[in-house]
Amino acid sequence: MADGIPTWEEVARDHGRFLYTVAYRLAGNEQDAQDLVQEALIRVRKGLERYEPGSLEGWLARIVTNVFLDEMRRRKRRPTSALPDDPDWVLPPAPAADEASRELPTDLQAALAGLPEDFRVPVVLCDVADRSYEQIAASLGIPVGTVRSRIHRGRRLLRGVLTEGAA
Amino acid sequence: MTRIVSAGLGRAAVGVVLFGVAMLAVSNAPASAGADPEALLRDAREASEDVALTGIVEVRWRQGEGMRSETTEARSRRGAYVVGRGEHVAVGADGARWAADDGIATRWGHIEGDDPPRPGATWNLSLGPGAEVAGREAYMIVATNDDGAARARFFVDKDLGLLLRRDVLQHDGDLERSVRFTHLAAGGGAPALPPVPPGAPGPTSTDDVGTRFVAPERLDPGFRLLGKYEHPDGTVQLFYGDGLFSLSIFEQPGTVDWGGLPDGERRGTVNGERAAGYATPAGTVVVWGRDDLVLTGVSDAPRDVAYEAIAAIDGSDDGFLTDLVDFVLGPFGWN
Amino acid sequence: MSDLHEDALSAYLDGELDAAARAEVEGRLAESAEWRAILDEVRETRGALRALPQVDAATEFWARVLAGDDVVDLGATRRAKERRPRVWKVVAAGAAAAAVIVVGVIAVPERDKVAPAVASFTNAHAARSSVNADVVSNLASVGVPGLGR
Repeated sequence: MADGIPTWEEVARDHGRFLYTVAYRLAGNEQDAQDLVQEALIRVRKGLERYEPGSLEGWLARIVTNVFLDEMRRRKRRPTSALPDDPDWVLPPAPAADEASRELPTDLQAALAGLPEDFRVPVVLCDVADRSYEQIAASLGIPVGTVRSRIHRGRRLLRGVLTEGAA
Repeated sequence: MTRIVSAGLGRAAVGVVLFGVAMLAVSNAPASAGADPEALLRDAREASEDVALTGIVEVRWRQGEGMRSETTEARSRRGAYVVGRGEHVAVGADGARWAADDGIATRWGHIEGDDPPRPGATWNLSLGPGAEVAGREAYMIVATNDDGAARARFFVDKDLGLLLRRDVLQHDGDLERSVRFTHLAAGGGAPALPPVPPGAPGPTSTDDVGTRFVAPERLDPGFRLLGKYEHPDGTVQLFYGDGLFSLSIFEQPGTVDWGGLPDGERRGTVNGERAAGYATPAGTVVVWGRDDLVLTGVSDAPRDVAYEAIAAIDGSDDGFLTDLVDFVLGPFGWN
Repeated sequence: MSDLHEDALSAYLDGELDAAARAEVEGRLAESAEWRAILDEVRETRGALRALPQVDAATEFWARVLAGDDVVDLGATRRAKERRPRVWKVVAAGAAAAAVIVVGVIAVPERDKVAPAVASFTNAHAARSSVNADVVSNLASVGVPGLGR
């Protein structure tokens, strides 16, 4: 590494697992995650010249997210920001104050994969890639308030997995 | 499995749109220990025979760039079902079916065929976050393929065990098709069964479709042949299931009269043969021709899964995926 | 008293609130059992997500990447993986059938043109698929118009 700028190989070696983890939690499956990582590394290679030393993982998370969103757009050819109109995605009722929910998570990954993408992406960026709301808002091109409400709603939707666990 | 249901509403008058959920004693029991997704799906089928219900059902399906939506009614009791009304209606009773659409009717007597594979035979099932459907608390079961991609969701009523909603997801995770109750009232009398139209034709089960038709026992990725049927006009129908989805292949001698097909088709190819595709409320439809056979595939599986199975019946040994990709990448629009 | 929305609880857990907003949330938490319950629930979900282990691709994947095989086509690896040998045979296309078709082509070049009754076929499929499966969701497509003529 020279001047704090890593080489492409160093990124792949030292941060590959981080890249792949974010890609996998976004895409929900191995094959797409691999494709995302490879495309992200191509962009990393090109972008290293302009990279200014700072939060490397933040930069990488943003690249992977952009690749993911570009691929979604390529597949859909329409804006990704519109939430599907789906009245059944209703939050579970607030738990009673004394209700204990001490079950361990089961198959949280499957639940994540089942979440609509508009919830899944902000939740992954926050809780897997550890990005701030500001960074997520910038990455997705949506207001911070929207980031906050989607993260909250996404987490509450996932709550069912924590309490319904299979035997 | 029986469930106690309180008859909250009286008999529904035909033509009156019903809504309003009868708030039954929805149990607020803590998390059911060991809710098994496969058992939930299996039991949902029987639950519908034990419960009397009246409801509004919405079918949504992706057509081109947008989602289309239509609603219809459903009534059932003790194994008798009426879905729809008037010109578009399907009736089921004791394993027999008939369906009418704009005056064209298909009538089945008692339908013979093999049981489908178990729900988990081809797909991995797991519990997802809970949801409400038609105002009722439901389990969500997610079906994923071996790569871990979620391709379908099923919502089962926590109290009644009924299937309230089923979604099919595109490769990118967006909704491809969804059938769900928007309103549901349990209870009520048996539905009035409309009379079967006179002279409606009926397909019959057959063991031997003859040598001019193709009938593989398996279609990858997971479809198994469950029945062969001959329609009165000579059309052969092969019925396949993979435990969650089903697929019919209709075979007729001749060549495709492209001009006679319904409007709105998308053009593509299946293994190099010209094909027409439709997105319909029933699922994906593909029409193509090969070796003096006109073939029509109908499936409620996710579109790419249906294409793979449809191309599989074609039997070519190389390049099928390239051609299949052409069809998918082409005009169908999800890529 | 401001219009505090429940999603402030996630922002609170994520350290995204300024001091004033934090104080407001804490005030509400002191008064509302429901908010306390939601906080516990979201804290647990957030914790479970953050506790998810890192995942990694197979070593062959990284070996390939570091060997410098540029993948320019995003779908190429997927398609390469999916290409696989056929394992089944078409049952009825025996020699006899082939002979029939060959004779047919020579003797009768013109084939009958057939326009499949697509709407009727979708109904027949729906009817059959509703047996040994959920009835309403399979028959629903018959109850709605959907295919142009």
